[in-house]
Amino acid sequence: MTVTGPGGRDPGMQPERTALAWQRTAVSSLLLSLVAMGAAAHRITAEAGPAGHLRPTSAAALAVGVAVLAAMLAATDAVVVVPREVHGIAGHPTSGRLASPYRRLVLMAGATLLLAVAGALLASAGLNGR
Amino acid sequence: MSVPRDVPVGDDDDDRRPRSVYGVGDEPDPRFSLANERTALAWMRTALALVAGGIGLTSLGSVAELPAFLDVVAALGCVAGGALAIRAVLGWRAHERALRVGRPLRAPRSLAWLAALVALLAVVLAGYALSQVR
Repeated sequence: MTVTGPGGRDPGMQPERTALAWQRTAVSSLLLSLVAMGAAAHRITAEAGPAGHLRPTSAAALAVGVAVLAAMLAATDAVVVVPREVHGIAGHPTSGRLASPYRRLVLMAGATLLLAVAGALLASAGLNGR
Repeated sequence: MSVPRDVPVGDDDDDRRPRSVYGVGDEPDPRFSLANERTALAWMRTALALVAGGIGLTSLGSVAELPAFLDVVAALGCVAGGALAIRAVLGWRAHERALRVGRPLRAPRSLAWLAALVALLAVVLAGYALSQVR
């Protein structure tokens, strides 16, 4: 990390802002996945249909379950690891460069995609249920 | 991914992934990389907001017996949110690469699509709300 200004700190507080952006994004995804879990659970208890094959609601619940795990991982990472990395304590170990955010971006996108699939499945189940 | 000839090759000791980004060009000002990261996260939060709207709408529909077309609107929000999440990752990659090789950033075309979609959703939902006024 080579962002320095007077006093050895970036006066624009870029590392702090980036860490906070990670935290609010990851916490949002965790909150949404918990809300989605409630929505899927409510739909399953309200729904009485033939068992035996995978219904949209069950598939949605499965997607939400994986999304909850991914969001928990992302939130832990954002709160525990990201602040250290962007402040250069545990960045790119050999060179003092910024660490690549790619892996955690893909994790966040994966959690969001799972929630999107779950939401679309819940909506299609709702459409068929009318 | 093949590297174009006019693009300078990155450092050998740089093992960061993806190589299609870190394998080319020079290290940019870290502030630009961090700003790029935050931009991707802002897109991701927009994606999450669309998905949240979709899940909220279909959940409300199941509780309050709303008409079926609102489920179509909810599914549309979820699909658009999923697409934006992918776009956030692809956009980060394209921008970081452009920063490293010193090329101009792509125009944010998806901003116009997003604005059009949100405006459409607003008109449809406002129309529905007004139709319920007695």
